[in-house]
Amino acid sequence: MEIPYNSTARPDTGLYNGKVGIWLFLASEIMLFGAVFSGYVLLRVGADPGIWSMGLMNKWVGAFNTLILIASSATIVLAWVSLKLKDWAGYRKWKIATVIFASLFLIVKWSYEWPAKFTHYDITFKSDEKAVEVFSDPDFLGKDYEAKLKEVWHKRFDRDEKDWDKVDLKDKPLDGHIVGYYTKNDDGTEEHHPVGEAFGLSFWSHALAWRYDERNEGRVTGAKRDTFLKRGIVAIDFEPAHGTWPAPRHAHAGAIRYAELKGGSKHDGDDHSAHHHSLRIEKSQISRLSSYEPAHSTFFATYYTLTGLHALHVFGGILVMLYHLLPVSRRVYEADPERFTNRIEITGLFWHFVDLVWIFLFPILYLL
Amino acid sequence: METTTQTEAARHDHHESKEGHGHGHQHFLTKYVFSSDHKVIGIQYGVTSLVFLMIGFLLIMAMRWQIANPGESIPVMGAVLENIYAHNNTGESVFKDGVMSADAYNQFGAMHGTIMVFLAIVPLGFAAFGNYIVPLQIGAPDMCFPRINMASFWAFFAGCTVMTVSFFIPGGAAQAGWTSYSPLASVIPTDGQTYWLIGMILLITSSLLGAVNFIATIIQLRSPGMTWFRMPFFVWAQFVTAFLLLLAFPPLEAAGIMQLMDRVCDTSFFLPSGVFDTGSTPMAVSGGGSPLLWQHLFWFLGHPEVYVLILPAIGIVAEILCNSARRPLWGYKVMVGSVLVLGFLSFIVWAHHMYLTGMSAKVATFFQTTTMIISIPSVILLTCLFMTLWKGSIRFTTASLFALAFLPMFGIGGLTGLPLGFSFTDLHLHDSYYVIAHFHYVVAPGSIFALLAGIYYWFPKMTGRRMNEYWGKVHFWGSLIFMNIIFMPMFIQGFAGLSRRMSDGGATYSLLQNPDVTSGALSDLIIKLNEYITTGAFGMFLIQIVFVINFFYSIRHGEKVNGDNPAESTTLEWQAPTPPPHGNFDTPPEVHGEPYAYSLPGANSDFTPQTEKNRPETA
Repeated sequence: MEIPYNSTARPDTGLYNGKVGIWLFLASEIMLFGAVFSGYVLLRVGADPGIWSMGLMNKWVGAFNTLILIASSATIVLAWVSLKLKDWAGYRKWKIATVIFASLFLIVKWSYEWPAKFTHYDITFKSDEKAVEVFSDPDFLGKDYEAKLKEVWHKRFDRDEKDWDKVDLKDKPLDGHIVGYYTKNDDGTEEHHPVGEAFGLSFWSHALAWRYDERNEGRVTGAKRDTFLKRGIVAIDFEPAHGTWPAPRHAHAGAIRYAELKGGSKHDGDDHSAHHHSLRIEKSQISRLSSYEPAHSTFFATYYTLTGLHALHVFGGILVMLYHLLPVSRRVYEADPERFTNRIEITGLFWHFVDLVWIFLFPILYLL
Repeated sequence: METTTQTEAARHDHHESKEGHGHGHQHFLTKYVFSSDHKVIGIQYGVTSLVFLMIGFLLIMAMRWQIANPGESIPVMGAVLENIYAHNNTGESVFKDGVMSADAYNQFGAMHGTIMVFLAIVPLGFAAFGNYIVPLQIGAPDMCFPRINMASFWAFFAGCTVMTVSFFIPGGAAQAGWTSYSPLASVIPTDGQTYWLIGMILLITSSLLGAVNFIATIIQLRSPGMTWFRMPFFVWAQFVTAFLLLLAFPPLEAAGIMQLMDRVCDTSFFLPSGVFDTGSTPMAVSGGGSPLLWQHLFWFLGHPEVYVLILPAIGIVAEILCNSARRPLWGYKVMVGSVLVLGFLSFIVWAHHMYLTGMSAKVATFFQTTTMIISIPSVILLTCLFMTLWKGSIRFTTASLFALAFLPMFGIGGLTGLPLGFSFTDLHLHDSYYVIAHFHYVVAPGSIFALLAGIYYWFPKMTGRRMNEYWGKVHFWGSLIFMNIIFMPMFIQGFAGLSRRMSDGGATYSLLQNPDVTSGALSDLIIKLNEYITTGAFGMFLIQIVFVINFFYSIRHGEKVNGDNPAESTTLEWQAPTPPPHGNFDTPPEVHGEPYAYSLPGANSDFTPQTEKNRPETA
């Protein structure tokens, strides 16, 4: 039994079956992404000041990914054109190029963009006084901390600074990396523990282990992770994100030991340009500490959901395109070139849609 | 090698001559289990969904027992449930001593709704009947994408499995209602809700694959001469239904993914700032989410879903009524127009489920207006079906009795919906038993009666045998009477203010003597009605046993039908061999006329099949 109009167009509709199918599928996909986009709009419009972290993304990395995705859209069309011209070698070349671009996109996303966020934390403080204690530390921002704070705030949350006064000092976050933590022994002495670096092997355990919320202290609810309680942490060794904050002038003991662990000399700590200058932040000063994981805020929840859903589509596309490069596909092509060319056209339509979604994602997540 | 080929060819010939169609031997697994034949898939859908229809009914039976006899041990099943059913997080059975606890009541309630809607009626009406009948009625050899069709069924089956398994995990099944409103659904500590979400994502994937397939099939695979306005109304109904599934389901999938993120990754899509769970301190979540977002995304699916439940049913009823009244469908083109308008409007009425969220008067006005407008095409459909009967000489078969009963039952369901469409009356009736009665009149004696009618009507085409008419009529009259005993009193209970979520049927609430509110919250009569309803439900159960026995007995021992068209019908499925082989028609049928050419003046018989070339001149 043969299904009609698989490779030739039905005269009255002018379409072959697969094309009708893929357009219907894409209509459904628009509703799927549309729903998450509308969630984005609703949550952003309703967000409290200082929540929507629009300035945090690395827009150059995003722009790079946008470019390679657009390039892949071009190469997949060239692959289809080659097949139309009965040029299998040309098809193969352009299809491989498409797969490489697509893979590059995912590599950037999954080995750089996401992991970097999982090891990047921010801290909000228990009270305005505690926040002043940290920010105005003479080794850190000093007396005129407010100017620097305002500059960072301006860049990250609030381009016209209209919300500066609406958010308490304690809720203005300090971001950076955890390089170590302090526990208290029974005899009252403190012990320092270094933690793995951002791109070390301990990445996942590191990323998922850290979360502190003073409201959560002392009780375990479901999957919530109260690392501080379990490890008996009294303070953390925190390195403010460089490029954003001036490096603290004084390095804490823990930070020096961390530098040693990495193979550097003890004297690195005295060098003002070194990266291992850290702040000691007491547990009693912290209101909330969270990495830029999905649970950080509705912005990151939306970010991971949208880019994750999109990345799954890219991944699915790569699998289909790899299948189209296998010998089995070559045999399909030889048996019925028209039908195989149609398949490539359909894949191309899907791929353009995936690109189009990214064209929307890039501005709303990185630029706006 | 040559010998093998020859033997195979011989076997092939033998097979062909025996069954009269060209199709080689298939392994049992590829023929009946992993089949890409639309008819086998239709039957797979049908059997699975009938099983879940029964499971959903058994869940509500247990709940009805608890409502009528709060705190009493469930006879027979209580002991069974205590031993096999999931325990709660503290390791205690939720059916201690065979008594249904409030937790168990919530789980059964949530799963009754979910199973009935997503695992029973939608797959039965859309996927089962649609798969079996639509390609036949348009003269196609199969669905457009047979393997995607198979994938659709197996995704559905996986979803069903996840839902079923969730009853037996620690903590039990989902318990936040079939609507799964957040924040409740996001913060419930048991895993049932997570299973529910994963199950729903699989079911939605299945319906997406099915919907694409249906639309593409109807657009691409109509046989020669089968123009759009020669398609039977059932095909039109399925066409619109498929669009609803295609476009309305994805937002729920998106919402499901977000709720899954809330539950698994601790995000706050639907959790506002400062939300509390059982503790006395706010939950340690980021907050900033919106519970209303869930409701909007849910009902954006939820309302079109109502039409997904009812449109295939109306399509089935239209087929059967024309056939049994021996009359053309009255106002065929008007009905087609109505069903298209209905499909479109169903996307812009969803917030009438949300009047109680405190929406502004302006927004409420918009949704009240669209809700009233959508009742116009619904009334047109019902009126056309009634008018079809005018001057007909009706054959009162079991199928036509069920189809006829559909009309007043769906009418009651529809008309009682009007007070719920206005925000000022909805404020009083919302979440009461009135709502339960209203939508059950639409889907239980409405959709389910139509689906049963479809089973009786097409059974001879699927098996070559009839179901027993006598026992069919017993089934019909019993079902009709018990349906009304069950649902009619619920209107009264709802008016009296009985809330739909009480695990003791309002017994505790009725004892409240708060003079500020009312003297005696609920009268004894209202509570007493619970017992009548429960008795009705048990009667309903007994009468369904007649159907089950009749169904299975008739597959092998029913009266054989003569010829391929025992219903003396005009549409194409009856012109195919019985049961239709893989590939359906020996040659693609050519269509020469309208779908409902019954009792044409000047015709040889009172029906003129669509394939008939010599058609009498119509005036």
